[in-house]
Amino acid sequence: MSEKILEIKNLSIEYKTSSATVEAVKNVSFDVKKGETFVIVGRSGSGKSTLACALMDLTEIDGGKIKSGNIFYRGKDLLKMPFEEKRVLKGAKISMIFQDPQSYLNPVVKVGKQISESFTVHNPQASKDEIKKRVSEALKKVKLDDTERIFNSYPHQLSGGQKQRILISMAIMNNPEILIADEPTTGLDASIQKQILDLISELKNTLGLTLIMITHNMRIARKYSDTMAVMHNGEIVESGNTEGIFRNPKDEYTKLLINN
Amino acid sequence: MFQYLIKRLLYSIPIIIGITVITFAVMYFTPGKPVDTMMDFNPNITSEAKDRLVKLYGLDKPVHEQYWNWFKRVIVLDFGNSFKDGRPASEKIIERIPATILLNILSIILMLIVAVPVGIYSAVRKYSLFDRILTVIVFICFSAPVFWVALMLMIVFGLWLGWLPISGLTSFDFNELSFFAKTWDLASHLILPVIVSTLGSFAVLSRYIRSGMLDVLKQDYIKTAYSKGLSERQVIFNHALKNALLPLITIIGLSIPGLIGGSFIIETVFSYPGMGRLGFDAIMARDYPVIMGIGVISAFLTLLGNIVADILYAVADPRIRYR
Ligand SMILES: Nc1ncnc2c1ncn2[C@@H]1O[C@H](COP(=O)(O)OP(=O)(O)O)[C@@H](O)[C@H]1O
Ligand SMILES: [Mg+2]
Repeated sequence: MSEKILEIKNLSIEYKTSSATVEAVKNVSFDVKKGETFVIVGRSGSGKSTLACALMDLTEIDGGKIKSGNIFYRGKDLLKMPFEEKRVLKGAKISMIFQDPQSYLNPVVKVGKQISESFTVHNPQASKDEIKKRVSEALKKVKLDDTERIFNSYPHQLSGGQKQRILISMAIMNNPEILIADEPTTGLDASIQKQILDLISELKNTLGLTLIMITHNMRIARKYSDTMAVMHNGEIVESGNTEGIFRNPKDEYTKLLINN
Repeated sequence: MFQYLIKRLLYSIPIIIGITVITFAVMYFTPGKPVDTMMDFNPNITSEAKDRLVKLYGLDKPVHEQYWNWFKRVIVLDFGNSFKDGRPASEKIIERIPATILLNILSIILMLIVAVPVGIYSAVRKYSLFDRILTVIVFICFSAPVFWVALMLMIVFGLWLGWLPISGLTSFDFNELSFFAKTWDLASHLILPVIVSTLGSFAVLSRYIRSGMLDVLKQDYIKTAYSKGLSERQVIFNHALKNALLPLITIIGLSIPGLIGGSFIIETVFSYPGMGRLGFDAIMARDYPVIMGIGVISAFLTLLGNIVADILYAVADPRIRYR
């Protein structure tokens, strides 16, 4: 029915440190269909973030190395693309929000500048008015009030929830096709966690996003996803329709997670 | 913030007094007394004359009394007269300050101009050929003794090539020169001392900036920046640089005392008319008032440098500024 927007084939990623080599993602393959919510679940250390970062071309920055495999976005292999070509996609067609809003905003740059940069980097000719308009639209979409004050603040002056909304506004600034959310509620208060998850799922519907969400929480996985993949020690042990997996898990590890 | 500053200033007072006590004690217990060194140069002094001098300077009193007498005068900013030529110590010190400041400001500027780009570049291109060559150069700069480098440069550029003067700050005929000739004369005298005093700090600073930059490049907000689609250049200039350079403020603040204190070795080797050489000569002559004067000023400047560094840091880093 729906077209495949991402195809990951036999992807293996490792980290080499002075003491050891960690194979964080092992021969992983899966497809993401346009418009669906695809959830990757797994315990901490199973390789979820490593996988997500590879989709955003962040592996090398993290000190990792893609050993083999392909990531096809609309039929084009991202791993074979030159940097400049990928740069046009990042933050424009494929965006990501991260695990810990605390550390993902630059502490010494005003929030307003960091937000508008998401727009200007892909629209270097934009006029001041245009930038202002786009930025305030994005802030409205993530339901931030008091935008004037927030705009002139530094990250440490804002709450965790506000920061995560800001990171989301940056990610959706250019109406991307794919949004990757890596455990977007870690480190937030329980009451705010639900608000953020609901906001993301609402944005997915209103903006027609394809959402790839990462979580270690099975309840969240079941509630928000159409398709899910279970990761364990760098491998995908089971993937498919979410309700199908919950009703009838095939893999022992999946059963373990569901019964916990 | 204001209250904090007052507190810091008040805390500095006992520290400065402590430093002067230690300086005085070290000076007093060092072998060789002022009067002895004077006599070495003038064998005609009789022992009565010597006794009179000892009395005059109050050197016959016990050490704590000597210190107390010195302290009482310093409170009213009287640093005493030099044992050597009888001129006020403060006057001797003040006239040396401009030359030392000139030398040190130039070296700090040169150090920043060279070390910052070099440190940043070797971090961004870690383990590249450039980075490796630099590592070697830095270790040479760092480990070569300053006096040896100074002498080598003097031999090569001063004696063999004859391009640059090797001592002093100006030539004998300085006053007769035209404006441009004066400028060149001054500059040519400064080139070698500035280079020599920059080498060591260049080595330390460029390594420091390299490791700071490497640290910043591992931070999470750098990932955010790349995931927005920024180029490497934009990430470095818009996001990494400011974070990596913040600690520089502390370093510059901490170099303020050296700015005026001057370097004993460099100024002595180049016969440079600054505070460092004055200090060296004063110590050789056991010229207590001058030594103590320099000690007080250096201690004061060190503490002032610390406070200034804290203020600048607070101004530059929003996380501290708003606390
Ligand atoms: N930058 C890194 N350098 C070295 N090892 C890393 C790095 N990031 C992650 N790892 C290792 O890779 C494995 C997978 O980590 P990660 O992808 O963060 O898992 P998850 O997001 O599922 O918790 C872990 O064993 C982790 O220790
Ligand atoms: Mg993770």
